[in-house]
Amino acid sequence: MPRDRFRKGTVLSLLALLATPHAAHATDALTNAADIVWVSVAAGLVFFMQAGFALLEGGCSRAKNSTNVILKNFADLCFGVLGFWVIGYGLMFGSNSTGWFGMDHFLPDSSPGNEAVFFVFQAMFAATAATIVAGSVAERMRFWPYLLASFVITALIYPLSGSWVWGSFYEGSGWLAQRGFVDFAGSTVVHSVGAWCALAAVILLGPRLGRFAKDGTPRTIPGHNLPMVALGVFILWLGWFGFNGGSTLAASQDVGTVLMNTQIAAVLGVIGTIMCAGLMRRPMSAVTILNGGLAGLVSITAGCASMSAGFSALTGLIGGFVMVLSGMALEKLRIDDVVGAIPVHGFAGAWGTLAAGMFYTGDVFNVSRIGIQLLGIGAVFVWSFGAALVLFGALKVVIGIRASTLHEQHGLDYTEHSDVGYPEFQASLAPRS
Amino acid sequence: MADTPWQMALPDILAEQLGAHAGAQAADLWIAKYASDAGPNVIGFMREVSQTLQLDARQRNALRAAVHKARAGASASPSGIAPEMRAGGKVAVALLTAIRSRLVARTGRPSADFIDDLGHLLADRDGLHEMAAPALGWLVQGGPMPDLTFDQLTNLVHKVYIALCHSLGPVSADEVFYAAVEHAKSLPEAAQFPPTNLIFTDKK
Repeated sequence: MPRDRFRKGTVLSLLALLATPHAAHATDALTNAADIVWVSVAAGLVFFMQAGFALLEGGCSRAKNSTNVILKNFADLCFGVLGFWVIGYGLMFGSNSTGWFGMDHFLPDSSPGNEAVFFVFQAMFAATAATIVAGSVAERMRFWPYLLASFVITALIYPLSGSWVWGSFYEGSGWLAQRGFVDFAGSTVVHSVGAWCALAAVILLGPRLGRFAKDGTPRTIPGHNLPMVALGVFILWLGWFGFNGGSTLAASQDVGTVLMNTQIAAVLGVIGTIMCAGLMRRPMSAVTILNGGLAGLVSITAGCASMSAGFSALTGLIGGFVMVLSGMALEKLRIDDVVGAIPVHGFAGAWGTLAAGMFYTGDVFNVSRIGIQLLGIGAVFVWSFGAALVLFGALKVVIGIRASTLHEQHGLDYTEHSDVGYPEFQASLAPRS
Repeated sequence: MADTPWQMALPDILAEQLGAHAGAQAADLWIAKYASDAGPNVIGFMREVSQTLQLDARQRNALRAAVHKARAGASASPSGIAPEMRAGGKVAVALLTAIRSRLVARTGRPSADFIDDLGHLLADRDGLHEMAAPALGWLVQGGPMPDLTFDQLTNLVHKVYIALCHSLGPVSADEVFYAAVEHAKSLPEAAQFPPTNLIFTDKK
């Protein structure tokens, strides 16, 4: 039957795609004009995700901090891309003979050809990892230490673990890739790394003033603009088509598989979140439901090219549950994550990476593959969380990372930028002398 | 650094309140651990003296009142204060009074959590030092407001905000503060020193 033939063809092409590392060697990737156009468009979509993050995180913050959060998103893109260009790209994609990190192609030139397109696409991924931190540390982290952290994350923390999985664009291969670790578009490589860095940061920062009562009861601090949050999630969802779809690095039929799985998992992520919230008798708040879509998207990012639609649905559905339950666990531990980035990107990302091994087409529930996925999830956690603890710990000791309580009271928009986000409706707050 | 008049009078006050021997012990403690600080921690000193000499409640209160009286007498000189700061002081008092009224209206008196937390904040290194007890006493019991400088008032406003965040949560704290700002805006001095400055601008 034609349908069977299509399925077999798809499976074979996917297996061929996954048999080679995520980024094929420079000589045979991105040489076709259509591929270059597709990956360039995808890079634009991933760039647009920064706007989504800015709206989501800005909306989840109180009005007095919204500009600060959005500016952090904007600036971490700049500092992040700079760090990735100068050091990160070489560490992640340079010739990787040891399996641990690349050793050349630092500060790559913008010469015509596949490398420049690949760099732009990957730089957007690096910036995504960095910007995840902004939402968790919102409303109490100082601007300068945040920018320095963004630079170090994209220059060192993100690319080093990234090279273990994707570091084979020129020569060599990462040690996790050699073992068959699957993370097609970065559930672990991008999203979990950002989230584990955020986890280290929020542990060292501590919660916002009054976020938890003395007995540990969490207190909700509503964001100032839920429509902004919703629009941000819509934009992120759109951008994800570039994030996952562009990771094929080719304008091929595989893109359809990736996009379909991405869409199905996102939808089921929302449904899973609603189900879980209902079962746990948690309020179905807008932010929770919207985050459900992101949890589904993050979950499917690792396995979107190597799963059937049914397993994609299951991955997204469970991703929603994982996000809600891990968010509750973090609250119990008095960890204040303003936008819920750690449950969405960290825990749902880890689940998605595990699912990519469990539901691998043609090799479902292979214990050895699942073991390798767990090894990768654990190794990346140990590296990124540990390195981020050192990074934020050093920043805390040397220049301080937490805004003073006075600044927290007044709002970081004013104290960090001398700005007021909404001068009209904040007229009663705006300084007049 | 040179001792202020009340600090110079402190050994006599201690001797008068505690007797010659215990007073000398307390004075030694003051000189050894507290006197050299730029803003000496009088609350900490009182606590340590009370523990070291095992003072009972009556003795503690009498000593605290005597030291406070000496300190207040030394600082009650309004001359030389900028008009804006004087207006700011009145606005701050109005703001704090409004906050206190709301807290009392909510639960009959400020909650024990709030009082305990504010007490700790005021006794901290960057707190109100010797004015901490009178300021806290006023918030708990009402009556005439102790004589605080403008800096002490702005510090008190901030500490009250933190304590409200801890005890009620930041959303309720903001509500209490914004309502108090609306009240303080009705003062004539608010034209010279808008109450929003106390919660929004960075005076440091």
